[in-house]
Amino acid sequence: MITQLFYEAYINLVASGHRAILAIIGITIGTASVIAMVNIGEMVEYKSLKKMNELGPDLLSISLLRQLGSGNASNEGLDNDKIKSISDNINGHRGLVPIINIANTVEWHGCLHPHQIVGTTRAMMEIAKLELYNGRFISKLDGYEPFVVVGSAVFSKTSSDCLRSPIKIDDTIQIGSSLFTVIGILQPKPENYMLSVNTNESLFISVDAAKRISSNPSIYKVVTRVNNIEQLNIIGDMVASAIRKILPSFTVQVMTPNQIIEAIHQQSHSFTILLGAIGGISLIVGGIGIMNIMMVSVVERRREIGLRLAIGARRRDIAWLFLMEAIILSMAGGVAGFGLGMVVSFIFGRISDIEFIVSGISIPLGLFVSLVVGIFFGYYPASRAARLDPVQALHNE
Amino acid sequence: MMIEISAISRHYRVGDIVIEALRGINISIDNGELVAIIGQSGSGKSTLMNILGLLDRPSSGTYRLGGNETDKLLPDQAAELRNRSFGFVFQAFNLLPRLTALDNVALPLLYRRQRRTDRRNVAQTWLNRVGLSERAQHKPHQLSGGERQRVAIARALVGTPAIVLADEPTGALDTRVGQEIMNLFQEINRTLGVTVVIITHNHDIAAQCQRQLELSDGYLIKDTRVGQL
Repeated sequence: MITQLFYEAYINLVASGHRAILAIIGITIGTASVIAMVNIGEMVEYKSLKKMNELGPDLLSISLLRQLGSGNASNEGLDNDKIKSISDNINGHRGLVPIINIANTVEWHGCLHPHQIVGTTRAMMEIAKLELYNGRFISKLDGYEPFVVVGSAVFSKTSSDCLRSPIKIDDTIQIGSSLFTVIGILQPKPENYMLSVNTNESLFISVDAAKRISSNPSIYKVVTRVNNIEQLNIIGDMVASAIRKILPSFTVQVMTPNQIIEAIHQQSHSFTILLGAIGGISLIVGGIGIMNIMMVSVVERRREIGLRLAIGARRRDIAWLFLMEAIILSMAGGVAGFGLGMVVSFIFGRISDIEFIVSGISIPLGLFVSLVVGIFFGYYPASRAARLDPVQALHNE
Repeated sequence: MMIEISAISRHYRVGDIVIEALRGINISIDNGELVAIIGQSGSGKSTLMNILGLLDRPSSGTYRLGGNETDKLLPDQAAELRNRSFGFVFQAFNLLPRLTALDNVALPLLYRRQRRTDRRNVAQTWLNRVGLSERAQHKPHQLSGGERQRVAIARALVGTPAIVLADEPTGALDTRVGQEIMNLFQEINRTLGVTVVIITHNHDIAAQCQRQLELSDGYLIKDTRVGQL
């Protein structure tokens, strides 16, 4: 019964040819938009999750910004002592880690390249989840010693003839006018936006050693991780107000991973709305196209309907005959739409630097959407066909 | 399956005008009869046929089929009875143009929910029976008028009905082919014992039936049996 229904629907659709194609295109675009919308949503969600895992949901970053118009107020930011006193007065976190960000030219074996120099402490390793490839990280005991730990990609962007061999422990690097000894090399890590430094391309030195290369080694950024994620915002606010109290001329900004995730979501938001609108309109246009085809078909096939009723078809058999055609039309558009939706998602991923994944629900969703459109817009013509009076249908000329 | 209709009337309302197609008709047709219904256009022949075939309902009067009242039948029950008890043959053949002769013949069995291979096997035997064993895979447009009507007759018989209702079955055919179709009706009536009711304008065709019912203006004006002439 079902196979015959399919078979008859198929041969009738083949016969209706180009009329069917137009309706299918509408459904294709509609389904593609819906699928792309959901799939891109999933891609963004996936990226957010991945990002959240990389960052760690417990990461807190506090930045100091010079207030505009603060004029001749002190330029001096935080120092180790101030950080220690703030850190000790607030519970529930693993200690504030300073980040001094200095841009400078670095020279090694005749290679010259600008790099970020990060003045920080031993605890940076834990907070930024850094791992050593070789050697050791800077320590409290290093004091003013000119020791440097290099990121995995340091000098990787210089021309290749300059790189005769990789950087080794005990190599000497010149930062500005000071010479530093390499004591450790880091493993590559995904970029962590909240640290505001790319750890792979940075060189790490102690806070005291930073005074060798910078005239203003003040600390304008501290990071930490909290013990209880629910206290993330509270601790962030406490640290911020403590800083404001001692440094009133600065604006203090608290950044949490949620803000990064929010920014990622924002990236796809308007595109998703656009897709939703296109999807809705196309599905309605395509659905009306299908309804139109089916209405014409019902009129053209009145005698056939009459004959089928005469030889024993029940009204619901007639309804199914036409509903099946509408559903097949719509599902054909749905299958094509799935392909197109994937292409759109892929292109969006490329443009927005979001990894392309095929969402698990997009296949059933595509089938479901097209099935619903087929049933919704096929129902009226099908019930018109089923309600025909057999005598009138048979004697239709 | 005996047909008994008594005091059957059927009127249509077209705007303000009431058209009386049948006015108080009484007919009883026994199993295995070969009956012709004749009359002018508009005499009510087709209306009578539609009522007999459960495609239409009388405005008043009763129709008993095989001893059972038909006026309380639900639409699906009527469909089932049409499928099991009746075979229909039409002037314009009414074959489905996109199906093969075989699938056209098998169509009534579809509505008995039989399996495809079973349907086709049965349909093939009926195609053989009407002399079209070689034409099973042809589409209707590849067949002559006479062949098409044979396919339609095979379709009417495929469900082994008790009654075949034929509405002007030779109307679209020339005399010779029409006679061949008539011979086929006589044969199936004789060999299968199926009741055959033929509506016709053609007196030569009607004369070959054992019984002739003549309608005029919605009245049954003559009921003659060949044996009684």
